Amino acid sequence: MDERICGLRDSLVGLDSEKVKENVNSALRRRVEPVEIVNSLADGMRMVGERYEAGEFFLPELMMAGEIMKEAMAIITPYLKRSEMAQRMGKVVLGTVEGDLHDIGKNIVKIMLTSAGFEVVDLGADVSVKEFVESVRKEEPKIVGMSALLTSTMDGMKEVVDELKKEGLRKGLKILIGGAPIDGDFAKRIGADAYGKDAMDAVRKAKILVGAES
Amino acid sequence: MNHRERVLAAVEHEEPDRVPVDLGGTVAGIHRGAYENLKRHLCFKLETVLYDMMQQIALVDESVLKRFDVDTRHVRSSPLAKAPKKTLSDGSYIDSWGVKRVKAGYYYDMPSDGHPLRDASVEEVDDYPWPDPHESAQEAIEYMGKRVKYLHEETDYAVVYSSSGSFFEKSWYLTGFQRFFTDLIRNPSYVCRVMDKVVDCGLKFESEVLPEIGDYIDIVRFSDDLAMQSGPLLSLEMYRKYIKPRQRRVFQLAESKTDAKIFYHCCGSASYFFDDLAEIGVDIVNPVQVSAENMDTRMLKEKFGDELCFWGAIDTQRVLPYGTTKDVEEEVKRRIRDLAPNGGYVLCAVHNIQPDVPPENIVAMYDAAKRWGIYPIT
Repeated sequence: MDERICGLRDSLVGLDSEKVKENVNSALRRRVEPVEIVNSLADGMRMVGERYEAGEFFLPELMMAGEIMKEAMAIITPYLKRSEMAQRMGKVVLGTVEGDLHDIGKNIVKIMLTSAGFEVVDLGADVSVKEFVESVRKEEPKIVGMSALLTSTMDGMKEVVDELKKEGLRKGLKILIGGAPIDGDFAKRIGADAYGKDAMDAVRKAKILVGAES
Repeated sequence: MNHRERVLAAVEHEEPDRVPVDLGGTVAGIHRGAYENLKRHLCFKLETVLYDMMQQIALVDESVLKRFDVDTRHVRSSPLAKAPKKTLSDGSYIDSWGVKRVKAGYYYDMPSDGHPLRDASVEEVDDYPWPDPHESAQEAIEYMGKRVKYLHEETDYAVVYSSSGSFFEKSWYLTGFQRFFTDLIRNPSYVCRVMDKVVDCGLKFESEVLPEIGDYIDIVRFSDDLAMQSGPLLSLEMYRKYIKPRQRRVFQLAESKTDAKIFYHCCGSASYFFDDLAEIGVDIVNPVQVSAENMDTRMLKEKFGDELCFWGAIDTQRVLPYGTTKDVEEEVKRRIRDLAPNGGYVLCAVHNIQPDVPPENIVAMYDAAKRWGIYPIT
């Protein structure tokens, strides 16, 4: 790793937002390739994710790291070339299904997907089947991500899957679902491609779905 | 053994004649959709009275409670009509803390613009129009004083009082989840200021209410969800630094005003906090969300069964909505076998019975509890 950005990854894992910004600005001043800076931050986010999964970090740490990442990306993005942006992971359309206003989990997934390099189109909560379908038509994402907290709303996911199929939009599109009552069996049953147990798992599955990881 | 004795024996970790059962209130209640279906199924011609606005819970009629031989009766501090401070033209409302609630599907929930302190500074927290605890306490005493006295003196049910003691959740309702959770790291003084304001309101309220009703209640209920399905929301270290000391103050006040047992509701993978909760005076944990991580009932009983009474545990996420009546009966038998030996178990659904639970399964749950809950448990 470029020694001018050695401290960057660790300051992110240390959840020190001021230091991260300082390190990013100083790296840019010293003409470190912006892509290298992003890679270093992504490495930090990967470590944050590992700590979360190991039970060393919890939601406050995870969400804080996501916020710091967002702030850092806001500084770096103007320096990234268009081609470098396009190399990123691809687009995800994300939302909580109809009848369900619970968006905390979905928002954490959004932070983590964005941190991992995905471009996220967030449709918010209580998103109708029609809204999902229209957004897929318009945004042409690689993945549709759906979230539900309630057993009474999770069947709405199947309606979205069915409708996408009916509209001829399902081909080449991956569907990733998650939320407290969801499991792998349910995902299989409704014809989704993958299920994320939590935000970290969702990112891992999203990477697999777009072929960035196996 | 009467209803109250049955519940209190269980809570005291003694074996009653049979496993007590609960239905009612706002964490062991029933959504009005499920209640409508249940009434139809039982051929009870009753009007549905709403008990909780946000969760759309029905007030369970005496005839239904008697049908299931429910051992408890619930009281809360305010009538439903008091809940919305202001109703807006689109049907949404502002609650007594200033948090906005919007109807979506089966419930009311908070929209992202519903958190009034989302952008506030530490100083602005002080200037926020906090509810007047004295005024609400007087209203609460007026509203429920006679009923608790009646329940205690004229009936033999165990009286469960839903206190105002939730502060962690109320605090993040005010600040929004994202702000609260990141400010636990970035700006803890803000988070603490909000929590202290909420705790103070609750303490002032209860220091007026509990002396009036304390002799008539058997259980005082507190609630704050510290966990989610897959694990705790925050680390033990952070919990011990920011949440536990405030819980201790709240429970200590209750202990100084009433002999009622302390009931604590925490959804999700709550077992992470059980040792700490027992240490600061919690007697009963609810809802025992068996579908969450580290909530296996056999493990819970072995590890925490000497200290804590378990209240709930019949799976609302899979078995009650999707199982057959036979599955429900097996679930009831399993939880009784795991949790009921030596007392320490009150049976009901994990949290409120949801609208997708068939009435047959509700009946099956209570009938099985009565059939298989006779001590000694084999």
